[in-house]
Amino acid sequence: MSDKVVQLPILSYEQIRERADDFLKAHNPEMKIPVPIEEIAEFSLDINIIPVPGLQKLIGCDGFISSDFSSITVDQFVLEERETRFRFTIAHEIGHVWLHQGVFQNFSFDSFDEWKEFQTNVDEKTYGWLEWQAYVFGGLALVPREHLASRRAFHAERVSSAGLSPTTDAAQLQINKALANDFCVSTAVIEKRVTKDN
Amino acid sequence: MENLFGAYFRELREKAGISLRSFCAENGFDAGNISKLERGTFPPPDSMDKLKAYARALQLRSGTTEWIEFFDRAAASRGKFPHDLQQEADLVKHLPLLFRTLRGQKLSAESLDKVIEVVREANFHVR
Repeated sequence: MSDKVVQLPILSYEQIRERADDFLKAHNPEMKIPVPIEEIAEFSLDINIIPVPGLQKLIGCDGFISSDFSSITVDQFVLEERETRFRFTIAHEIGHVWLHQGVFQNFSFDSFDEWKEFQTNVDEKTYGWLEWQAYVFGGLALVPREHLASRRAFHAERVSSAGLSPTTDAAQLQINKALANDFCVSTAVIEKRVTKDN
Repeated sequence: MENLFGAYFRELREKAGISLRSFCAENGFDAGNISKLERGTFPPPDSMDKLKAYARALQLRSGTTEWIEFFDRAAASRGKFPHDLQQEADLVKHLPLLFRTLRGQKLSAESLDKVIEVVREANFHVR
């Protein structure tokens, strides 16, 4: 196991977008908004959600997917009290399934020591790219481009009809809040998606 | 290990189309306990009131065949849970393949041991 090298898939932002669109066509064909990411994970991909109290405090992360891609362990407080963060964690981890399952299909661990050796020796840069790809996938899966465009236009029209300019910072803030509510994500996710789509 | 009741429970929840988070939030259940019940690491509760609350939350109607089957399966599953830890080879599958802290750091050897403990605890079988 330990002598295996992770073959990093090279994916541009647009290629990840295409993969996210394929994912949505396969698992959210009705294009429901907010994207029912929890139901997709549990019922369509057959992934178990495992809440663990204090996970974030204990090991410094909101969640992780198991090496056999069968479960997502998640901080129980995040699951119960931070819906948008929970949804993004699920989408991010599904990103690893959708983008990286092939990369790791021949990887398996027979012991804790083998697993620890892999975690210790895995190349930092490769690791960082895999995480970035899953992060990008999470935003694209939860905030599909077409829906983002149409909802932005809708909210901009509402602002305009109230006699305000939709291009002011204050109006943008309100629009982003409304979009975050539409897609059940944080405003930070909306801001990043809007910036990319512009 | 057989996990007939847990798998059946999850199947009913899936049939109702309710995610784990929503199911627990709407009914005041502990998500960790329900997850363990479904994965077979917790046995069905002894309390009839608790079982009834679960059955109602799963949209079963009192007196129907499905309602009776739910209680029969719970009774049949009790006492079938091993008390020992799962084997290392099974537990290791639950460890994360890709893992990074919120600060983007790799974990120390000590922290990796903590991850193993988290996974062991989350998959610990109790009677």
